Amino acid sequence: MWKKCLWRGAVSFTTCVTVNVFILMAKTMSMVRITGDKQTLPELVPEYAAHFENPFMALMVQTLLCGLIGFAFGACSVIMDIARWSMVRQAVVHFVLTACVWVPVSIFCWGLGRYWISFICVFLGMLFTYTVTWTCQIIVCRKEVARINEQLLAREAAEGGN
Amino acid sequence: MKISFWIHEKYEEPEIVICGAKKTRELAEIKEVIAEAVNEKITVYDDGDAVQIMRNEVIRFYAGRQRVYAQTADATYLVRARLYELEETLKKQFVRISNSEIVNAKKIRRMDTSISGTIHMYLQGGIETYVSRRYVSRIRDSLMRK
Repeated sequence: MWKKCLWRGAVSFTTCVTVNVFILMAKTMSMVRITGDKQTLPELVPEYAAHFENPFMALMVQTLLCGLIGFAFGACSVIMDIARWSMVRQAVVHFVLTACVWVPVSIFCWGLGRYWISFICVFLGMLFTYTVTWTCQIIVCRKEVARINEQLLAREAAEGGN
Repeated sequence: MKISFWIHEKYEEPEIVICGAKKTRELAEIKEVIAEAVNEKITVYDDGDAVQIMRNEVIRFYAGRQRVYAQTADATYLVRARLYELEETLKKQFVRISNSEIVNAKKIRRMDTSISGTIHMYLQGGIETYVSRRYVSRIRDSLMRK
């Protein structure tokens, strides 16, 4: 399980960093076109950029931290494979473990903790996502299980007839 | 396709040979069907002693503590094979229900889901186990094929 956890985390980390780089490149190219200034860079939250002497270093660290969030989500996806855990338990543990990563990173990089209202909104948004996902999964699951039970009953009836 | 017997006293143990101009997928499938039909028993271990049991007696194979076990209605045995190897060999009879378990499709009695979303599977012999969400559709497809 740990091997799968690390592998999924590594794949997610790589994907996140790659996507981040492409987005930054696209943003930079658009800004260069608009402003005409070839030295321009995507804007960073000033409180975050103040931690670094060099804006390139700040961008690189931010990209790696995005990768770290990806690693956390990828690695924690193995929780969904634990059959003996209920969906509720899986969702709660997944949320808590991933929040341990994305909350500090978001506070550090994008000043999420600056305004309490924004923090609450993001938290509620994540909670809503988990609730909707859980609801959809349980509905689909129950339909599938009902179909399986119908097939089992039909098989029993056929075997009883034979 | 011709099917024939070669009876000679030199064959102390029955032998099946598949002849063809080249090895094709059809021949490979024939080999699989014959192997399954002929090898109905599986070797398991009970306290270190090797025992042969009928495959259709096994209710489930599950992995735990770095080992693979076979459970029948009466006992649980150690199996010296990996779960994925058993799944590959017994794919017509057994279906995977989680990362660490495959069950005999004919031994499934029913399934249900709890309010919290746990999926239970009830097998013959009063055995209860858990199903991973990921494999529910696979179980349905497996039962439809049989």
